[in-house]
Amino acid sequence: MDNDAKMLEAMGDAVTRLQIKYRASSISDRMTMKPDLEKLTRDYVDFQLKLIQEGVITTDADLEEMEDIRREIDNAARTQEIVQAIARTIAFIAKRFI
Amino acid sequence: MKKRKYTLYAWVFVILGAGVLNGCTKEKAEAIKVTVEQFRIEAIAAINQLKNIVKQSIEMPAQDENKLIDDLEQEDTIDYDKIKLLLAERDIGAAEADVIDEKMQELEGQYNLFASMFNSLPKGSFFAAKAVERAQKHAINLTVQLINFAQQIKENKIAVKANAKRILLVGQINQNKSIQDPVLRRQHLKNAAQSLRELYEEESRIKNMAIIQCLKAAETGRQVAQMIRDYKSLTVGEVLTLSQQSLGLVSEISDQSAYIEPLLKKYQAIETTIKSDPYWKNLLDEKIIQ
Repeated sequence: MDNDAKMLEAMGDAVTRLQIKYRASSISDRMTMKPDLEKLTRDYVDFQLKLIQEGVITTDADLEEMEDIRREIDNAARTQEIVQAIARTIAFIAKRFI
Repeated sequence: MKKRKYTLYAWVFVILGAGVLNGCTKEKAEAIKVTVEQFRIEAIAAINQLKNIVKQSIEMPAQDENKLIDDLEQEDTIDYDKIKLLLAERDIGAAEADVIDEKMQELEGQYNLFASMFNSLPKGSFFAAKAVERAQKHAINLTVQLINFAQQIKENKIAVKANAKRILLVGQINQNKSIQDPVLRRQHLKNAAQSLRELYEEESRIKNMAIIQCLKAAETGRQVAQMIRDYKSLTVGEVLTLSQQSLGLVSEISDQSAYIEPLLKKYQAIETTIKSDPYWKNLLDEKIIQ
């Protein structure tokens, strides 16, 4: 297990332990504990999402390029429709009038 | 007159022929579009599993009604702040769940955008070859990401923990241990031991299924990348075979609970194949997380 995995496990265990303690506490104690529980949970989720982000390769520039490719393929479809319409018209003229 | 007619026919032929030589047939384009859509569906299923895993790892069980009555009884006085806390307790973890949703939607958006690039491909198949070529890099990146996620789950960098059930189990075992009658206590602890084993099996199943889903999506992504790479040279038959293979992956996993171990082995073998393929090996060496 590498350090990230160890850190994640330690943080997760800390969250669970505090949740167990919180559930067993009185209302007054829970009022004191709630901000700590929320902060610990938020830190744990942030760390988890940071680790997931390390596996992500696609960048904002890639997303822009994908948008660009989509537009290019959409344009190709429009061009093809026009070319096919022209070809059909030429074929029609050739068949009927020549 | 005849000469002019042939000239016109020749033009029609040249216009359409040029397109065909540069691009691909509508059938090939349709097959690519179907496989890309399959890739999108599989990737989103994988991301959904990641989302559920992260959410489960912080989930608290709902507060027991009897515990709430005990709490109210114990307090000397109940003021507004205490009521406010009791009302707000139901929302503990909700803000974090929103953050998780937002991150996962961002990831889903990448795969949705990738698939949307190919929506018009069958209508523009003659003239879109260059654009399709540019899509290869993104197919690779999105595929490698899925392999990375599988790797992270395997290495416990994504925590698979049915947290709420773990918390309930701690409470259950402690309650059982306080039973005075030794026979009854042993019986209850036997049930707790059974629950403990079931929880272990459930967490293992969640972990394995998430790995399988990531690798299944990655395999579909690999096929998409291959189709894009060989867009011009593949025959319609070859493209259809690749497309059918990707659809075959979906049907075989429908009975997942019964075949989880063989499935895991199969997809781990696919992962090994991808990683040892000379073309993919170089890409993965550069991009896979260590």
